[in-house]
Amino acid sequence: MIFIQTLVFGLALGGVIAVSAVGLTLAYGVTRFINFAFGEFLTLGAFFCLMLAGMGLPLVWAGLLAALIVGVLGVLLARAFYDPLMSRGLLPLLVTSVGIAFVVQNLVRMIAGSNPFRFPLPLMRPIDIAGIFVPREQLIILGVALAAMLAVHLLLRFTMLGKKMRAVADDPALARVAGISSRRVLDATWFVSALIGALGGILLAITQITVAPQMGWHFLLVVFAAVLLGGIGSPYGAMIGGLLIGLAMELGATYIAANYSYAFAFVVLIAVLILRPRGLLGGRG
Amino acid sequence: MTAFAKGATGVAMGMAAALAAGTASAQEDPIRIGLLLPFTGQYAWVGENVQPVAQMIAEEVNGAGGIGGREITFVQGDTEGVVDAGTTAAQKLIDVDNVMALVGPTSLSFSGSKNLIIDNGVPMVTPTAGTTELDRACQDVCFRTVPSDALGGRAIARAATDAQYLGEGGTAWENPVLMVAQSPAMVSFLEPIERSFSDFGVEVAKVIEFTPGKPSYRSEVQEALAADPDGIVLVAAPEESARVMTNAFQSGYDGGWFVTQDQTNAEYIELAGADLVNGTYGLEEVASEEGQELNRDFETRYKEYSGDDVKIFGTNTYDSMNVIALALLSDQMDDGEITRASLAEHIRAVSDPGEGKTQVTSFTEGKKALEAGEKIDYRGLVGPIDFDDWGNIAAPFGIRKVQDGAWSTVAVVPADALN
Repeated sequence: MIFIQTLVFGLALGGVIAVSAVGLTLAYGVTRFINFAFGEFLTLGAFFCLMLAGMGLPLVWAGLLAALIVGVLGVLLARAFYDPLMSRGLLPLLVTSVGIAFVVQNLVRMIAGSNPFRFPLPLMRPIDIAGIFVPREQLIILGVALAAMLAVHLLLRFTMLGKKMRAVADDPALARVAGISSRRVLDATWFVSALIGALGGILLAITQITVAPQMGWHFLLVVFAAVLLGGIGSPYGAMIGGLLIGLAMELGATYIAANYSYAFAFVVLIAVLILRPRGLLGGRG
Repeated sequence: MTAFAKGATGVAMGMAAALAAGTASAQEDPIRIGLLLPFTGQYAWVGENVQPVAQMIAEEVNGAGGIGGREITFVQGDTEGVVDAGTTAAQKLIDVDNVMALVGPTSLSFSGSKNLIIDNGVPMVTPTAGTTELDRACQDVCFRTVPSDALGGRAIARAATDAQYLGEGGTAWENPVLMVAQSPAMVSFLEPIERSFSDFGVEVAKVIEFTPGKPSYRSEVQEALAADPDGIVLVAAPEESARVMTNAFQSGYDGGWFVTQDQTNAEYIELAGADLVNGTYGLEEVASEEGQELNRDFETRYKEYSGDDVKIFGTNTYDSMNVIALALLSDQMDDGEITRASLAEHIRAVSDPGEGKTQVTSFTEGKKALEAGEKIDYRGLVGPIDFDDWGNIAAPFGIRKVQDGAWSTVAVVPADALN
C-alpha cells in the first residue's frame, strides 16, 4: 500500500521535473548551451501567475497568460544577452546565463520581497482509492504535465516549426543552406523553452504550495539531473528522465531515508550514466 | 497585487532608510552598530524585519541629539543565513568597520561568529537567536532579547500535555510526533522539546528530522502519520511549515499542530491559509499588563513610521536597540568615553533591576532619567529584560490558537510552570 502511495507521489513530482526538463533540453538541443537562467523562467512563471490571479483572473487563465508572458520575456532575454554571444563560444554564454539568473532572481526579490507567498490553489482533501490517498493537486499536476508533454511531442513531430527546430538542432549549417531562418527558429525555441519553463514553475508552485524568489534556482539541480539522465538535448529523454528522477526521490525518501531524497536522484543518474554515458535517449533526438 | 504593492513600498522604504543611514554616516565620528543578519538568501526576511525597527530607534536617538552629539549609524553584515558567510560578515564588522556593538546574529550563523564576538569582546544584543548554543556561550558580551529555545520547547511540551493551557475544548496530547527541520535554528528545539515531553510524562512517539528547501514533504509526513499521532509539534521555517501542514492535510491528517514563535503571527496564517491552520497552537513571548499597552503603542508608532505592520522579531529588535542605545548613553555620560568593554557593563547597568532604579520603557524616557542623575531599569516589549549571568532573558509564554483566521491567546504558561 505504501509502495503504491509513494508511486503516486513520485509520479506527480516527476511530472513537474519532466515538464521543466523538456523546456531546458529543448533550448539546449537548438542552441547547444545550457541556460543556467532557466530556473528563473520557473520563478517568473509562478510569480506572474500569482500576480495575475491576484488581479482577479481565474487560475487557469492566469497560468496560461503567465506562461505566454514568460515565453516573450525568454525571447527578449535571449536576443539581448545570448544572441550577441553565440559566436564567442560556450563559456561567455554560460557565465552570462548565471549572471542573468542572479539578476532576475534579485529583481523578483526587490519587487515582491523576500517573504514567500502562498500559491492561490484552494485546499483540497485527497481522494481515497482503496486506502490510497491521491491528492487532487497531484492529479492536476499529472494532467497538465501529460498535456504539456503531448503538446511538445505534437509540436516536434507534426508541425513545420518542430521540423525546423529539429533540423537546426541536427545541423545548423545544413538547415541554413536548406533555407531555414535560424533567427526565427531560435526565437521560437526560446519562446517555447521559456513558456514550458514557466509552466513547470506553476506546477512547482502547486507542488510546494509556496512561491519564493529563489524557487527556480533551487529546483534547477534536479531539472539538470533529469536532462542528463534522459540524454541532454533529447525532449523525450527529458520526459522519461524527469519521471524517473521524481520516482527515485520519493521511493528513496520513503524506503531509505527522507533526508537524502536529492541524493537518490543523483545516485540513479550516476548509475545510468555509467551504463549509458549519453543518457537514456542521448543521440536519438 | 496588494502584496506586490507592499513589496514596492518596502523597496522605497528601504531606499529611504539607506538614505537616512547615509546622511547619518556623513556626520563626524558616528557610533557604528553592526546588523549581523541575513539580508539575502532564504532568510533575507529576518534582516528586512529587523532593520527598519532598528532604524526607527536610531532616528529617535539621533533626533534627540545622539550619544553625546555622536549619531548612531548602521553597518550591514550579511550572513546570508549560513555559517560561512556569517563568519566573514562578523569579521568585517568587527575588524574593518570597528562596530561598537552588534544587533544579531541569528541562530543560523551564531556558531560561525561566536568566537569572533567573544575574542574581540564585542557586545551583542541579538533579537533573533533563540538557539540553545547561546544558553551558556559567554557571560560578558552575549545578550539576547528573545528567550532560549530551551524555554520555548519546554513551554510547548508543558502546554501540549496539560489541557488547562489548551483553551476551551482542548485535550492533552498523549501520542505526539515531533517534526524538526535540519537547520541550526530549528534543531536547537529538538532536544528541549523531546526531553520536556518526557519530563511531563508523555513520550514522543516519533522524531522526524527533515531537510529544508524540498518541494514537498510527503514521505516525511507519511512517516509521521504512521505513528498515528494525536498532535504534531512542527519546528521549521514558515515556508517549510506551510508545506508540511499542507502535505499532511492532503494525506488526510486532521490531528493537532503546535508551532513555534516563527509561525505564531499573522503572516504565517496568510502564507499557509486560514483554513489549513485553523485550530493550530502557537507559542509567543508574553508581556506583563504594562507590556501589552507598550506593545500596542509600538505597533501604532511603527505603522506610522514604516507604513507596515510589525513583523517577526520586531518587538525583540525594539528592545535590543533600546538596550544598546541606553547603554551607549549611560557609558558616555559616565566618563565621556565609550569602549566595547565598558558598553557591555552598561548594558547590565541599564537593564538589571534594582532598588531605587527608575523603570523606563523607551530611549527617550531613559535619557531623561539618566540626565536627571537616576539609575534606570529598562522594561521592554517582550518582558522585563532582566538578563541572567549568561545574557538570557526569562519570560512567560503565551499559548495561542488560530480561531476564525486569527491568533488568539488561550492561556499563559508562567515561568515557574516550566521548572
